Amino acid sequence: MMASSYNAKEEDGPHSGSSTNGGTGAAKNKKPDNTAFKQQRLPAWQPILTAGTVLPAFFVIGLIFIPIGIGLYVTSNNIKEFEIDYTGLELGSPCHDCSKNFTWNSTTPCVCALNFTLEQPFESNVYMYYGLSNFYQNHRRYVKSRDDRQLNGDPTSLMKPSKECEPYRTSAETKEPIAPCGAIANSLFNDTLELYYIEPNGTTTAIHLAKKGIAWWTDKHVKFRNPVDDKENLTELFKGTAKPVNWRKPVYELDPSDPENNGFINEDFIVWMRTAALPTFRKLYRIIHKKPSTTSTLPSGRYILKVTYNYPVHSFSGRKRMILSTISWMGGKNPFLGIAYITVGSICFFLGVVLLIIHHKYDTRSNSADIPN
Amino acid sequence: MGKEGRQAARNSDYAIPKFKHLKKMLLVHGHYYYIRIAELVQYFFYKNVCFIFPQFLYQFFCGFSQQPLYDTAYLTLYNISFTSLPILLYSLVEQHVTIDTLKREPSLYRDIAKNSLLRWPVFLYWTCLGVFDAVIFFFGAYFLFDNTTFTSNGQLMTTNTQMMFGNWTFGTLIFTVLVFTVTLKLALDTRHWTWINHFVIWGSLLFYVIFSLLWGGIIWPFLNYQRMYYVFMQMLSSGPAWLSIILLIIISLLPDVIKKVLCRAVCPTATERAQTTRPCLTRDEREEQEEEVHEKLLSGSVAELTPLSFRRSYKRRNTNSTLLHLGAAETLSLHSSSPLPQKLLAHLSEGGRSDLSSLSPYMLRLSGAGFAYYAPGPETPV
Repeated sequence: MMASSYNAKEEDGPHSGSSTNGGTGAAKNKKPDNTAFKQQRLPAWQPILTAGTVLPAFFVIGLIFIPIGIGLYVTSNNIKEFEIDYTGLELGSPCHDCSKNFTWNSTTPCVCALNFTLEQPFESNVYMYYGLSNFYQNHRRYVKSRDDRQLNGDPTSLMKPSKECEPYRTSAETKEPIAPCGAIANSLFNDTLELYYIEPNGTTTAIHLAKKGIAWWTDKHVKFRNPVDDKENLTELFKGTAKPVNWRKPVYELDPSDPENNGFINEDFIVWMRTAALPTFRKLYRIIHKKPSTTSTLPSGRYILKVTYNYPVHSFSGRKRMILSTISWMGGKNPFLGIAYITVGSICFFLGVVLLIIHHKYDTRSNSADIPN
Repeated sequence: MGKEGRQAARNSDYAIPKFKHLKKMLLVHGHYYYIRIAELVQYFFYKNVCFIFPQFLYQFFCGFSQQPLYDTAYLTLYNISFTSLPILLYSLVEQHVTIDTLKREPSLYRDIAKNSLLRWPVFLYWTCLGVFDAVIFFFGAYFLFDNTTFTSNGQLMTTNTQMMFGNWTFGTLIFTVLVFTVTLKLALDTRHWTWINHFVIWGSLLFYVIFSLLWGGIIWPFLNYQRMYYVFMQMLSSGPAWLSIILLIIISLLPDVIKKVLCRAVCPTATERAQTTRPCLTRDEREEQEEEVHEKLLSGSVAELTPLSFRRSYKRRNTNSTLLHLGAAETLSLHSSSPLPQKLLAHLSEGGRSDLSSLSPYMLRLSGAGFAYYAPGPETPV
């Protein structure tokens, strides 16, 4: 490696020069600093994952998770849920005629009614959902197709929607910009569901369905805003825009009775605009508030669901359903979380026991072990 | 170094002036370098498998339309800000075994011989772990989101207890579990926790949370989409979301922990055995400590030398000597219940230094004799 003829003086020269800090004359001190960081001598904690150290953690996890899992599972079992499919594909179903005869241009709405029975009364607030199957709200082109600036009330975006909204950007006939633009808005769910209770004595009472409070507060008050201008009337504000292709009414007629729920800030619209994660999903439709007296919100008995069938799903083999559900602190009926917690808790506990045996068996042996030479 | 020596040094990767430096360079620095680089490579593949595989799985549920699961900000910053610093600092400061142990036990080098940490079995293990974790993330979130409604208590501004979660919340939940899992995996692999490690690991997690809160907290004017607005906060205000995040992190980390613990218990490698063994004191250090104790006795601060403190300081010693202190009686802690052991008396009568290691460490005050006598704690095998 080194040349055979080397000068002993040369070899020692730089060496002695570097050993004195600062060096003498020509020799530069190339030694790295003798700090803890550069010499890798930083104080450190050196934990080791042995059976003995990990053991308490496993037992603790097991002991915490199992009660949580049991609590979740029991809570989920106490949640009542009722689901009814009203697509109407089968010949005998009430909505069969509506699903077959549907056209976009029909002016008379098609109404069908389904009877169902609730075995158990539903207490506290009851939430009414509509569910769709095989509807890919998470398709990339679909998710892109919206203009958040327009929905936020930006006046320039109202008249010039984003290019992402193509082909639902401008109206084909009038060349006006569409408000709200995009495929998500265009496919707004527009079935109307009404619920009636058949009293024991035979009279039918309508159940009041509240349409406020179904969207995220931040969505309704910050993200979605109607365009602001001097004009008070929403009709005036949206002048110069066209309604989406598949809508029956323009956006400023979504809820004429309530100006807080009209235009872009309509809660059904906001709920629909939050694209679902999976092809089978449900969205909140209405809330049935609990009665001030002690009677159940939905007593057990017979009910009628009246559907104004506006939304066609047969072209993509989709299905529609209505769900009634109570909720708890942990959400809707979902036994999976409870089962998962119980499973993981039991596995951890079992592993803790196994590790205890191993720790007892092997660690006493390793105490006398020496490092091999 | 000589002319040709200098030329050789310029052409080489490493050059050392003396042969004695070779030992540390090979056994310590070489060993550390290999461990660090092996972990770096394996970890990089692992964290990216965990990152991409859930997106791959999502394609089966979004019509194969290449819809990303996570927001573009998350996609961009995952490898840059959220998971880069911890592994970087790991590869700079990690010491799986101490420097002294490595120098003392050259045979530990055999554990990394023949590129053992970068072979196919090890790589397959890491990849399978990544795939397992990704499957857990995705399907864990899937079954929690499937046909269910998550409550978010929305206590921030409203009394609503029923909110709907969309696809961005789904993706953000998976991403949160992902970032925490891969960072905690590195934390479990780290053997040498300096302040730097603490800073980057907990700092990265904190940065992720703060970034998410800021990113979703404001309607950013430069963005032409607002899909992430308030998504992170809504997710965090939901009890089931918290529960599922914790559950999924623990399930993901469980197999690796079990494998490590079981392998260490059942068939420990030489390196693992070296990690658990405490270092022996060298002869010089031992004599130094003895001197210290002797001085303390003579100076009269015998009261400090209570049995408990002795057990601590003598934990690692192999001392065979006891120290006799002749002098005025001091205030000593006396176990009134313990009688003077016969053995002790016998030793005292013999006088001089004798081995009393078999006796428990009691400080005794011999009445009349003016002795202060103590015995060291039991020997701890090193």
